[in-house]
Amino acid sequence: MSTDMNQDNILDDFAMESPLGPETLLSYVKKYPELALELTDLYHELLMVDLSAAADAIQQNTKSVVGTSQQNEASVASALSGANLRKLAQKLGLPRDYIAGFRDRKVRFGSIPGPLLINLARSASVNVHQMIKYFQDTTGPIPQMAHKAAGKPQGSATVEYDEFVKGLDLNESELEALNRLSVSDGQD
Amino acid sequence: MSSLPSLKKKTVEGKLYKRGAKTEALIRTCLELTFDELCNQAEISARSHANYIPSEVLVYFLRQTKTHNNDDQFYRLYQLLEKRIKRACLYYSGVRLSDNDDPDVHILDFQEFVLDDFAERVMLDRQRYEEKLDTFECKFDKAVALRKTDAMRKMYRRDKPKEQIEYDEDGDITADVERALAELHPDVSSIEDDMTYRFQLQRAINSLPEDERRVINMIFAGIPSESTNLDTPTISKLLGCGPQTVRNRRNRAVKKLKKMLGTEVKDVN
Repeated sequence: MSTDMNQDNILDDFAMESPLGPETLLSYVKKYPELALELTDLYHELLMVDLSAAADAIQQNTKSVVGTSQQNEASVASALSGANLRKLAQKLGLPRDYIAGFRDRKVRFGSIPGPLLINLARSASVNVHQMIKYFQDTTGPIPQMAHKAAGKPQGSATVEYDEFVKGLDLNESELEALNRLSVSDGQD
Repeated sequence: MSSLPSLKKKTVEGKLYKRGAKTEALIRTCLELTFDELCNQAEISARSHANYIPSEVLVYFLRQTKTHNNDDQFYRLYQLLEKRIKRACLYYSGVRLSDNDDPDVHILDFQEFVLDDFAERVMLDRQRYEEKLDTFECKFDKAVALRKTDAMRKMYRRDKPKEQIEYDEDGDITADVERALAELHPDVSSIEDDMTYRFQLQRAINSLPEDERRVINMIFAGIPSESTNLDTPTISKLLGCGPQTVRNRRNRAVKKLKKMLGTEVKDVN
């Protein structure tokens, strides 16, 4: 187990401790002095959570959810369009139609392999959360004309991911590129 | 009654993580509801409400959608949890990375960081079991808090200004400071008073600069400032600074806390 992973697991365990008191912090600090700062900062934050929950004092409104949703839409659409689309396709070694399929939300979200969506989001420099929201928001722009499309785009139902890939008729190197994109890097 | 699938994450010591008994009971109750009923009830945000559905329960149902052929249920539950994560990120209003910081910017940064981390785990979980998501099913708010401190560490590392050299003040800890620390833990007569007091104190500690806050939290945890025993973890050793610096931070923090708590009491009265 890597040190980072071990550290994450220790902090996970500490966060799940119940009840959490000064003696819990003391015992963890004694056991893991190298994590003293992280544990102390986390302890403080966890106490705030406990007290806030007990007081049920959370009556604040979430910040501009609508605005944020529009920002998600715009960020993802921009990352998967125009020059960005071309650059991304080139970087990943995949045809532009593949990226355009995501931009146009042609694929059913639930059928997209999780690690692939994560890697695609990272490659396009957008958040995974933004990507999910982009797929969720079906009120977005009408699908743009696909690359090399002969006719006007038609509103069509989404297809399963495997079906979508099959339809692209990828060559060997593109299939390899796709396999690379589908692999989870195991990072946390 | 059929049992719910167990969580798979293990503690460092090898014990399986477990959902709370209350969470499991509520999951079973919610299994009797239609999906719309579940979502409508999950819109209730006041924890004190009798029909409030804790976020841990919603995470359980979100994870179950991985076998569905319809994305709508996933989207709806994800949206509910997104709102709750955003709200949980607002708890920490006292974030101070430097004096020039706009707290709103940090809250939005935290929200983005925590949401993205959560989204990533959810996506991985749809492909294969993601043990890290188990913490959200055990104690959602604390899992969010953990991600927030993680975000803070990363942002702080990114934004961290050059360390200023701290000059020692003359003199040792005064008797006044020792008394003041003791006064921060007064005897309180009722649970409500205790809760109010602890909340005020923790909020006051929250508003301290990070270096002073750490010293105070370590003192309250019973970690000694210094020790002649080389094996004893001391605040001075843990923070990597001299004993006098620890004392200076403590003195400054206590002064501020006394002022803040005194002011709050006056306001209440």
